[in-house]
Amino acid sequence: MRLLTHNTLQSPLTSSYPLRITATEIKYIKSSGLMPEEGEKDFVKNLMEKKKLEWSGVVGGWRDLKEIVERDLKGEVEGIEIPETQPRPNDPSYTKTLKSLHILLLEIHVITGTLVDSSNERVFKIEGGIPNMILLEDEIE
Amino acid sequence: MSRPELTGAAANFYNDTEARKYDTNSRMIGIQAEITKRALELLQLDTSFPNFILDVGCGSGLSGKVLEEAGHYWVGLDVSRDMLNVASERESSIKGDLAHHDMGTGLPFRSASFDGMISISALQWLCYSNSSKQVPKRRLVRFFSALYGVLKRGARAVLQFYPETPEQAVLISECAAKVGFAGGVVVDYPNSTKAKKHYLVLSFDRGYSTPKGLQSSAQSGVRVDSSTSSKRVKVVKKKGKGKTKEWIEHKKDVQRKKGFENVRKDTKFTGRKRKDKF
Repeated sequence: MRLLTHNTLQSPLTSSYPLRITATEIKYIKSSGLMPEEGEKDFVKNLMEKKKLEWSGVVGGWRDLKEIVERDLKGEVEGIEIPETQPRPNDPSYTKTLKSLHILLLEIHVITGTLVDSSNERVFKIEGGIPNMILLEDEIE
Repeated sequence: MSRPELTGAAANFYNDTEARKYDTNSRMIGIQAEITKRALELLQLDTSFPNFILDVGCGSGLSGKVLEEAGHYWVGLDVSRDMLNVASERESSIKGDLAHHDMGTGLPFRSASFDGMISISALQWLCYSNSSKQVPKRRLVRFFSALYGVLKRGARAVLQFYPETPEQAVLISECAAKVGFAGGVVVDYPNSTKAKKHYLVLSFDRGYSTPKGLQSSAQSGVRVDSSTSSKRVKVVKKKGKGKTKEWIEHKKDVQRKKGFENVRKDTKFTGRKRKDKF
């Protein structure tokens, strides 16, 4: 699961957002197919400028993953900086944030771990990189 | 045509062997890719930038591959874990991500997350109930109202499905209209049994009229509209008379459209009665 997906996921029961991540295994997959592109064509830049990213989700996701990224992906991923508030296109740190976002949202994968709804502590497991969001029929009203 | 929907839950039907079979069957791959391309066409996306698409019932990721080739990023949902396992092994899947979820229980996303949504050969599964707690209509409404929430305003959704009966298509369109969607069912190749495909095209725009189906002369399909959806479609069967001239001409026409070559020409003798003594 990428942080891009985490950014859109909310608890299907309580609509709590963002879900808390506890990761036990993560992976960095660098892919040439994901290289930042020029202008409008760049997906991350587009997400930022069209306000499709939920900044609280980005900040929350990075807070949850920071420790394990710094421990397990040492040497591969470095220098990710996520400001507390969403930067504007004319901020000096804007390009740097875009670079960080590119790695954080697209190239880091959570392989094993859990997603936790912080309002009722319901746990959704992540196994083999796929979060299990299945609900029991009893859980829905 | 066999209908796996009648055998039980999708998660049970698409087990490991079935999922692998599905993913390596070249006929399946061809059909799925073709349907996905058509769905993308009906989606009418703004392609000046990469879109973020939701794929409900993504299966082994055959449709995702097409989305990727078109330059889009996607998230796929499926109820079968075995299908998802096959999908996650796919190496080319660099722009897609997966989640295990049952669409009948809503969608686990925050509002206005996606630029568009496609679903290939999945929606008909919602018309069947596999436990006493599953009510098809309730599951359909739950799915559509969740869908209404997760799409960006102005986005569209295209869902290709295989209705078993015309009533199913009506039920599905009614449920979509109930939550506020406009749109309708586009039927491609309505005269062919094999190539015939149903696409439910949904939009937020009240005045949206669905594009025409491929190779169809008559307007076929059911329109989703809050005003007409409540009306029941009555099927009136004509009795007696039998083979009139119109009937014969229509039948020949259908056969020609299907591509039969040995269809007799229409002449002034078509449908005429023979003399009593012959």
